[in-house]
Amino acid sequence: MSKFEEIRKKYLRETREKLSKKDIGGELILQSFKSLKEVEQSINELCTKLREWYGYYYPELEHENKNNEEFVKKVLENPKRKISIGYELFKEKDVKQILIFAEQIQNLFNYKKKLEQYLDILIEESCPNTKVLAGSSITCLMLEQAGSLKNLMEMPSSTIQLLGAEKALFRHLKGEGKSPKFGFLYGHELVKRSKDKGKIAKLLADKISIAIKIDYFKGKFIGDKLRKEIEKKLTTNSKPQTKNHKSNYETYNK
Amino acid sequence: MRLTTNNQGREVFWDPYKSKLAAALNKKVNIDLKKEDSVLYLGASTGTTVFHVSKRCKEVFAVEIAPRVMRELVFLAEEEKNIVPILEDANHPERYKDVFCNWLFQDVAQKNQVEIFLKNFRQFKPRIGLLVIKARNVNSIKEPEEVFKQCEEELKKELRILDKKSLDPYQKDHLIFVVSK
Ligand SMILES: C[S@@+](CC[C@H](N)C(=O)[O-])C[C@H]1O[C@@H](n2cnc3c(N)ncnc32)[C@H](O)[C@@H]1O
Repeated sequence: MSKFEEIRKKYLRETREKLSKKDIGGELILQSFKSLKEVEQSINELCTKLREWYGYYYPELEHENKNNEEFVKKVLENPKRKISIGYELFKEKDVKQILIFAEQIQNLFNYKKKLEQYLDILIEESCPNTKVLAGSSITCLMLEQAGSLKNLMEMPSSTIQLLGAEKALFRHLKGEGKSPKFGFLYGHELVKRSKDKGKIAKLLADKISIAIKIDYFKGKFIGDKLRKEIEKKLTTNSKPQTKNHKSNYETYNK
Repeated sequence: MRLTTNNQGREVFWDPYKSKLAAALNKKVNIDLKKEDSVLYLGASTGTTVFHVSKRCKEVFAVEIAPRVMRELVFLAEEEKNIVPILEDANHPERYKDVFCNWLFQDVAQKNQVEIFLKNFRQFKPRIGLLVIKARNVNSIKEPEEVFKQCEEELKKELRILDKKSLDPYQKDHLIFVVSK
């Protein structure tokens, strides 16, 4: 065997091994999260179509049901029309087609729920600590923005705090607009509730950056403890924390 | 229009809008790739460009850090017996120091692109090296021209610049350097 062939064999073997050993938890979360977003978008678009179509048949019902899922359910119940705007243009075969369409949308709604449950389990498995602090949907958004669990794990908490605020940050760096204080964390219940949103966002980002490291290295579950620390800070209203995250994480990992 | 014949005898288009090396060729850069060259390719991605290069040289060592794209590169390497897939960080050439090359190409889209390139150049001492710079990766606020200039200064400290060309209009804000010792 030539030297080249030997090297080639070695790296092919090593690379295959590395690929199969890799923990794919983060990837599975990302893939199912992206699919979930697509499914949601499709449902919305299909519902718009259904409303348009159904509106010719029974506009009052369409008008009364603003919520898409409920609207689809009502359509499938196929109620008799009470009032009739316009003419009896719809034959049985026409109504039947609308119902078949609505049924497909309802299937999508059901699928969406299953996918959400699956995604939740994945997050629980791979990022239990982060999940308790950030919640499933913010965890997913951050992961998506970072590109991978590893990238997110390597980010300083100041970057985590601003994930999702890239546009505003960029504008600020160009000298237009204020510097943002939060991105995805804006949707967090604690941030929403608080007056000093920037401070809470920083506090949360600090703890999330610890949590994601523990999750990445498969450390212990201390998410509830971290969360309590935040809540305590909020009630005592003490000064913002300035501890070093790395050492923090090391003590937790022991 | 550049074509490459694959193992099934079919011709594959080498798209300058997708491959920076094809863009460089279209811009008349002398890439000086010889049939007997051993190539080290950093930032191989799924291997689109690696495939075309592999048909124009002796062998390619293809380094890529991302597992997701590496999977496809392994499939390609199973077809093409002169491609070696290496799942490594190009910041650490010592981790794949048993490979060898006389033609180095790098397209990694990283902030410290020049540093990575120089490390690899020092380690493997190729006859010639090609470095693709994406201005936005180095510094997203500065003007591309300034970024390119700064990269050139860094390269010049150790290497000779044989050629440099913008890859416009195929790749926006990209520049390729051709260098040697
Ligand atoms: C712009 S793409 C390269 C496209 C490829 N040259 C082509 O034309 O088909 C950059 C690639 O470099 C990889 N990369 C980034 N940092 C790297 C590193 N430190 N070591 C190795 N590969 C890296 C990325 O994962 C990505 O696949």
